[in-house]
Amino acid sequence: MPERYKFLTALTAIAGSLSLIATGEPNPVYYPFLFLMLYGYWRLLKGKPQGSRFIIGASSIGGLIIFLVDVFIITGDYLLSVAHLSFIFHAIKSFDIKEPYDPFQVYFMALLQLVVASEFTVAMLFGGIIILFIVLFIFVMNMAHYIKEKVEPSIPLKTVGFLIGVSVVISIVFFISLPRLKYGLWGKSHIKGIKNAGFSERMDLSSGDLKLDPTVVARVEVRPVPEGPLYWKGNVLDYFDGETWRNTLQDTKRSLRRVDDQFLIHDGLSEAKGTGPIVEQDVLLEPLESEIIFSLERPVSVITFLNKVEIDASGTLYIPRKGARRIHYKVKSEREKQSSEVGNQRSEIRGQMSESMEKFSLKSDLPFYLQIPEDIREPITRFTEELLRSEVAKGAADNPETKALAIEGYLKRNYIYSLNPGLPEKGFDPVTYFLFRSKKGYCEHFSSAMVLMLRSQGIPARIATGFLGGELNPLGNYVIIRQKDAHSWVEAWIDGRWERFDPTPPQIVQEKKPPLIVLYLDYMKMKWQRYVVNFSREDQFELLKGMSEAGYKLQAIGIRLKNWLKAEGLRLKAIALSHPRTLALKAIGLLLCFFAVLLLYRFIKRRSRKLSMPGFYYLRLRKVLEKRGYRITSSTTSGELLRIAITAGLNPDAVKEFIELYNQARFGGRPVDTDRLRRLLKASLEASK
Amino acid sequence: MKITREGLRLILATLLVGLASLNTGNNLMYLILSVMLAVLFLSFIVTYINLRGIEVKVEQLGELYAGRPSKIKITLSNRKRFLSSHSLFLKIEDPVIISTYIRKLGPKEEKEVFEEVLPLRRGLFDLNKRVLLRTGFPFIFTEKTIMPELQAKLLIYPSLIDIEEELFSFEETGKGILNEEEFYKIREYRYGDDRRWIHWKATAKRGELMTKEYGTQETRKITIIFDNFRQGSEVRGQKSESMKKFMPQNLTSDIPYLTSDFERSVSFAASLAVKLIEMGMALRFVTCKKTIPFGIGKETLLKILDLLAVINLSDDFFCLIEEKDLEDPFVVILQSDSSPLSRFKDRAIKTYYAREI
Repeated sequence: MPERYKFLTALTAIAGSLSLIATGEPNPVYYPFLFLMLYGYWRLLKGKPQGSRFIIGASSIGGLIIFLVDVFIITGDYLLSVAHLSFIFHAIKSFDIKEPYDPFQVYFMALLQLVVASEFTVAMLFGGIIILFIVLFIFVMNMAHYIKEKVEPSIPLKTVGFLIGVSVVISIVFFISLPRLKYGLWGKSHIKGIKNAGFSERMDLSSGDLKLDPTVVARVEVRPVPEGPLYWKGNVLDYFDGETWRNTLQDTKRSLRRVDDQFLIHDGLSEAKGTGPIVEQDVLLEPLESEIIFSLERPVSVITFLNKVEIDASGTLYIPRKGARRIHYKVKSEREKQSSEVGNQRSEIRGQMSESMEKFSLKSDLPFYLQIPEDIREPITRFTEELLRSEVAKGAADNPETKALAIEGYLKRNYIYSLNPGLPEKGFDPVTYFLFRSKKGYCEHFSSAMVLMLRSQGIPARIATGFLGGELNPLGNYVIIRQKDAHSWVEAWIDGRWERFDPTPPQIVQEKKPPLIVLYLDYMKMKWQRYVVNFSREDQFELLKGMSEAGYKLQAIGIRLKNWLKAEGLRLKAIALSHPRTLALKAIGLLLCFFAVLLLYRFIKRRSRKLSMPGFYYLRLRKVLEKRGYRITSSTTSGELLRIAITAGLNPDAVKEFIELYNQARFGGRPVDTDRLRRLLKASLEASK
Repeated sequence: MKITREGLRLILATLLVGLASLNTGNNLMYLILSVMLAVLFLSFIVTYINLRGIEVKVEQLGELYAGRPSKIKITLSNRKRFLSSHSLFLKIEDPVIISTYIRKLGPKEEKEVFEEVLPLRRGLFDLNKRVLLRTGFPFIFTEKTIMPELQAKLLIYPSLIDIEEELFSFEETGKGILNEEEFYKIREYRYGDDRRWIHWKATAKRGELMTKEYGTQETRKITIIFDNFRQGSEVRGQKSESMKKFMPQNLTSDIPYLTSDFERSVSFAASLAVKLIEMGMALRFVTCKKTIPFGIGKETLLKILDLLAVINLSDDFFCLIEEKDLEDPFVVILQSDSSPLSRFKDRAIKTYYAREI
């Protein structure tokens, strides 16, 4: 077995194992088998004897026992146990590579490892490992071909490189064309979801300090990118028990109506109705342990390949799916128009809610949004009334909107943002502790306080949770939303609509701009997620649509070209009739150009044919020697020419071979490599310089 | 196109991964599936294209004798303009065994291979559809074999046996050896005489064909009469003593090209012809249906060998030779005494029976 073949086999085993390790799923207890595998392949490359049958057999049985214990007792996860078993297999096999066909088992096991790894991760690194696997696989299978044919294996790099390139292209074609189902037939995905406190169905104020987590939650392409802060709304929480906020309207979920490819939230929307501009969001959402999806405020429709989109009475959107999985969907939101009032962050919402939405909310659900825990109602009410009295005294209007603005402004000015507010003292609940004692907290404290204060004044209010802002990646023009962007704010029912208020003081954090390479990597990750990991049936339809549109465009171009030619023809005809001399001159000029090009072409062809004739080089040699003063006549034979050339100081070996090759071609009728002739001539002449 | 065992395994693995992909909807698994499908697809396509545009030429380099190693030239040409062909196996199993391997044939490239072969039996063989061209390139999953069309024939002469003793001496023949360059006389034209020697003047005078005869007192002409009449050809007998001394000591009876009496008699006739031509004799060769007229040198020998290469037992007996045509010495090689040609055995210098060879 050739050394290269053994080496490639070892590399393949390592690549397969790496793909599993990169997922982070296999138990590190099995990693020693990898070191054993490396040792085994080292021994193989050094030509040391392979393991005895008895040891290999006993190890195999041991491995099987370990697998059974693993799958039935330890992990209970069949797939993970197979991953562990593959490490054991590779370790044993590395000591048992004897026959030329033994490496095939290694390749198939590495392939199995890739398949298992694909269930555990979707990282971009996996794509790199797949490419590495393609390269190794092609190299190895090509070499295996020569070994099977019992000839000396060689690696024709050009050919193998061509095969790899073509394999990649064909793989892409297959990847795009293979049919996708919406859901799997059996089983569930192994991908774990992100536990996102900012995006869960509850908000627990007693959890204490908050950590900033840079884990990416979503990547969103926004068109156009609106001005002002981006509030990505997810859930709405209405009920507070003193420590925790919950959404009690989840059970009111209903499916949205689908029209063409859109799930309509509002029954119809058009700018003619005087509504705001539409912002389109293309969302790649990481797997979350929740079915909630989010978007900019005022979503009007959702586009997704999945079967169902649901909405509850609070306006929270859901896409039901099996297990935590990465999903891709599009949302159209109606952007709120900004008010021109200075310092006023309030937005003026235009548009009408449809009757169906009205049915759901407020008139019947208002009591939900006025709920306050009894034990804190009185202190909060008193506090709020005092606050509002002073505002009214300052000349503020006594209406719900100004009340809300007053509360919002007060909290912003008088309370401190802190990620480490600490736990409430004994006898205090988190909100009253925040309001009356600590006066510091994070968004959840601020929003909870404002909602309760509004409710104490009979203004229905609720907490909206989601994300604020994000990081714009200029390379792909998309927003990266991370866990640390999680936020909560307030919605108050004023004048028949929900209006957004954000009492949390703005945090101007001087974050270092990430280096270009980081942005580029994230851009690549986004593309990988979007076009590989989340490639769907809808993408296939889009591609087909694009291709047929391209076809129509080409057709249109063809028709335009035809019409243009026709018009030009008529124009030229008119010129010919009115200015025959001009046209004749132009025609002659064109013909002359044509012949010039033809002559040039023939000259080039003749020259290249000359270059391919052995006689051409022989004549050159004669010319060179003539120029050096030697007498070369038409009767000088090739033998005489050889003697003269040697006398002239030309490289004797090169010129001898040159003359021999020339004679073979000239008199032997055998085809000769003219490149070789050219090189020999060059070598002959160089020696004499 | 044949799918190998490894190919079947890969197809099975692909099906399993395909099922897993459909089940999970996992795009990365689809990616792996796509790679496997691409490899399979490439394997089929490249194996197919590898054999396209390949032309094969087979040429003899000189005479081929059954049982004697000789060289054959095989030329493979790739007519494809842009693509090379790799890892080609060329095989011929009959009437010669050739197995040759070409690692690479570039676009528009021609390669010559000189192979030493051992022809198994005599005859004129049309190599069309006898040549197998096989490839498994680029991987180990598929193999394709084709039988390219080629206009090539192999003419294999009968195997030659060493005849170790002089066949006859001056005394035995009872005739002299003629130096053929000296004009001797004009006589009637006999069947088998060289037509270049017809004397037209005498012919016109006599009204019948007359021919010149060259030589002195001594004549060096001989005729071999070869019996290829089927009747009685299977009769076997003991080797005669006279035959034994002409055979090499190590001749075995299980050589394929000498399996039957007839084949052995053909080989013997060929060997005899070679020997006589080497001795400078003018040789005439007569069979049931065909006669090679007197001639000397390689040209005549080749004509005789050409005849012997393709001769078979015949059911029809049509002997053109008459008693009057046999004034010169001749030998007879008979299949059996029941052959019509056995009537010449009394006058022959020597008679050989196929069963004794």
